[in-house]
Amino acid sequence: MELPKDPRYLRYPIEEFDPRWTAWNCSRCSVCKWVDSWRVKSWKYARICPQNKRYLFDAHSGQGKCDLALAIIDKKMTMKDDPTIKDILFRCTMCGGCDAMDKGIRDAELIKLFKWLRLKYVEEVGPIPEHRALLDSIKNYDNVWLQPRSRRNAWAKGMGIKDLTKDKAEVLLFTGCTYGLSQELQETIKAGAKILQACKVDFGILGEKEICCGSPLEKIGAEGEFERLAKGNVETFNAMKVKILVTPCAGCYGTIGLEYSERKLKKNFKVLHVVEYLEELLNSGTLKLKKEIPLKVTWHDPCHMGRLSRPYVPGKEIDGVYEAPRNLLKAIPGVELYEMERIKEYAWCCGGGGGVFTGFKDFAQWTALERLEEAKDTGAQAIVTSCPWCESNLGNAIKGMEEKIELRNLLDLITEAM
Amino acid sequence: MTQEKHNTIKQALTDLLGPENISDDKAILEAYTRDFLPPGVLEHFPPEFVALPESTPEVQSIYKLANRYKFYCIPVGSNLWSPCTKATRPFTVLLDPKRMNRIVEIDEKNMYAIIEPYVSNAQVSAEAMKRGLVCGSPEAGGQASQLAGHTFQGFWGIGYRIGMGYRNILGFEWVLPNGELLRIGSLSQPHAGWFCGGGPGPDLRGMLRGYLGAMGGLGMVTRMAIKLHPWPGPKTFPCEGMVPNQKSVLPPEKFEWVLFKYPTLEDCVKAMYEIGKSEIGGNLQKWPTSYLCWWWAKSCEEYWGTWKSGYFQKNMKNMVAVCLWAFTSEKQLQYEKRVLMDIIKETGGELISQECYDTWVPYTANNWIRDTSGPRMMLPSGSFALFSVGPDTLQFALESIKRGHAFIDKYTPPVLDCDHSDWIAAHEFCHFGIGETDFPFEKSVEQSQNVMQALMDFVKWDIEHRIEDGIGVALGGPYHAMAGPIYYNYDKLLAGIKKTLDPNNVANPPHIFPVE
Repeated sequence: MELPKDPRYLRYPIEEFDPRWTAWNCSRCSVCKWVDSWRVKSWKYARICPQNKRYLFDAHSGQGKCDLALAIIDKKMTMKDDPTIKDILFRCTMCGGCDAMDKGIRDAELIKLFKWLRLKYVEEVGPIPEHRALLDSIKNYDNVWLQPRSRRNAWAKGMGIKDLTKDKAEVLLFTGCTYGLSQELQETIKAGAKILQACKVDFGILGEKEICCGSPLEKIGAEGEFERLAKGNVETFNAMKVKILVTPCAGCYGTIGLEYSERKLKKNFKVLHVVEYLEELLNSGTLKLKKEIPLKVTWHDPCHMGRLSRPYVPGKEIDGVYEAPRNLLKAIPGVELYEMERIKEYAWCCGGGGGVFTGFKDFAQWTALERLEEAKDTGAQAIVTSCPWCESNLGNAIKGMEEKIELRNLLDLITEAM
Repeated sequence: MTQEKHNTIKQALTDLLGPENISDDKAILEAYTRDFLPPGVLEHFPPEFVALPESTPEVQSIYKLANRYKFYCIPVGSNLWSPCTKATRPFTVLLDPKRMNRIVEIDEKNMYAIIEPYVSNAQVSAEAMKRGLVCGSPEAGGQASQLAGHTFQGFWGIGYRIGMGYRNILGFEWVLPNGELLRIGSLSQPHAGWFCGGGPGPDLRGMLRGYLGAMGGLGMVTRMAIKLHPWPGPKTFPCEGMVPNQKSVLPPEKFEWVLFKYPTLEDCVKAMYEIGKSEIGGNLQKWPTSYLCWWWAKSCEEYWGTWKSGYFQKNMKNMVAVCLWAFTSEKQLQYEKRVLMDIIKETGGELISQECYDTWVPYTANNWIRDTSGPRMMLPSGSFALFSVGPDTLQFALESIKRGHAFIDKYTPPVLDCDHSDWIAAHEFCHFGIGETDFPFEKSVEQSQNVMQALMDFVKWDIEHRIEDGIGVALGGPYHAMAGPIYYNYDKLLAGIKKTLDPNNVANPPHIFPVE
């Protein structure tokens, strides 16, 4: 029996990512641009890649970036040859839509390739100007919002939450930069804390000592700085001997849960998104949702608690935290859940990831508007999610809409229903 | 001089389309230089520009500019198959139709859809199903261009009933290489609409279609009305599970896949003829074991592990598949099932085991109604090719396959193990068929060169023996120049058409004929 000589065709080399292998085996099928064909329900919502839908040229796609990677690796081009390379690489929300669809037809890790390309770009050309402020913010303030460290736990004032730098608890509530520091979103993290308190969960926070998980750095090619933060965080969390790290931020969840492990950082704790944790509390009877909220809702799956939250195993489902939020919504009396056409592993991105929210606001908003249209088309009164980047970006887009849809965080709804 | 010409073309296209819809950036052009087939691997020639027209008038203007400034135009679809639609010479402009992505209209009563080039098979299928209609969907995948599938191949699962892509073309708008707009069929008459593709006078569809079409050598089709067909199924294509392990099960009272096998390939074809004569079913295929494994395996490890175990080869070789559809009623399906079982019995067939059925059918069979895992064909080794297509009668397809087998034996390696197993697809109730022996080969430069050589040897053998097995045609214009004199001088016909419609040779030379 004549078999391939290259052993990588017999078994995908998961242990050793090879960017050229990923790029070389792109067959130009365009699956990376579209929702899985069996899942397409209409002409309107058939696309998966915001970048390709917006910028049209094939270079702006998973396939295009494979071609670019091959040209760079084979020295047909350099990163400095064409200023368009910056747009091709960085006008991408790194949502993983292309990655998930591509995994439906071959063994490949497109998002890893994109990160490799960004890293290489930053090494050879430097960080892009649009991200300089973000990098400086993390370097100087340990958060992405240019806020002083002392403001990190301002949201928790007067709530009587344990400070785990001084106390012990089973559960660490990791707030994340955005929920922790954004004036607009602080009510959400407060709601989350109140739910845990009401359920008598033994938890605490890091307060001022909490620093960025590094997610934005990891996405924009600042790998060195990311690893510094990551190592520091794992040491801190391990030293606290917490059993579970719970976070309401999908970005932090995907980063601490998956990316830290990918860098072989040993965690002595479990990582859960707060939605997962609350589902456990619901199922155990600890969390009781009694008050009726008559509301038609649709759930937006954040990428980093969905298709970008699990380690890749060739041939295995692109799993994520899909059912927990849906189960929680269904458990709230009066809430009716209407699904959008593109959900779960084939969800349309909110537009806020990959450094796009900071660097390319027009594109971020354009992407969000499509998602909000899709939400409105379900007939839902509110779009619900549980990620601060999704909330921020979708929230900004809603402000400019004539016919608005409500934006709710799941934690707010749960608090109301308790 | 070269730079001056480049600048002139760029200015003209920018004035026409706007700066954001034309590019000569190196990094942008790089994404239009390759695909999985040997020419895409071996040749690297970026276009001069990529243009994004939005409308038929814009496409017309581009072709007029091409004639004025002497540049070349190549229209593409999703660009999955690009050996003949890649740039090969300087001053080539690729027309990427992403802004031409509308389903203009679906006429439910008269059962057709008017579409533009960048509408996918899945999009048309989804909108059609909502309305109780269905379109063809090829193994190129639901993400490929539906319009392109009507002018290039269009071998569909439901082709058994509705014919290949080109059989389903109604009125269309065709931008000729000189920039003039030709409206075909009823569209040529004011207020007659899109419902008919023939006439007036001789049926000009013949110039654009055929098994591989004109490959952009006669201009660009910018809008097309395509036939849709009755769909007794659900309004939404059924799917459960998660990528890459999804299932699709149609309502059992309305659809039933029946899989049965025979001792030999000849027996399969005999049975297919009988089924065709009975005109039962919505799909009729004989799939190769390699396909069964390609679509089913979700990783290369699973593919080769299963392949080496011989699971499909032992249990499902020489297997015919029929999908019965309850077009009019459940009783119709029940009746057709009885007819089919009679045919199976009379022709010596044997149903495959329930275990094999349950392992394979729910995860893959409905690809032949809307494909999602066709591109998995590149999973085992990065690429695949084929020696025969045999687009002719089923009997000819059978003979073509045997010729292909001889070359598989001769050229292993680079051909990898494929079980000498064949795809025979019946079209139009077995009035027409194709017979392919696809094989994986390792996608390396060396093996791509070897496969290219093997394919050229096959083509030369065909010409020497005055047989057309369908591969040479895939080379387009240069092949026609070679083969024409052997086959009744058809090259003169093609040359005449090309020279008349494309006097300045701007439409993707050397297709349809190398007039130079």
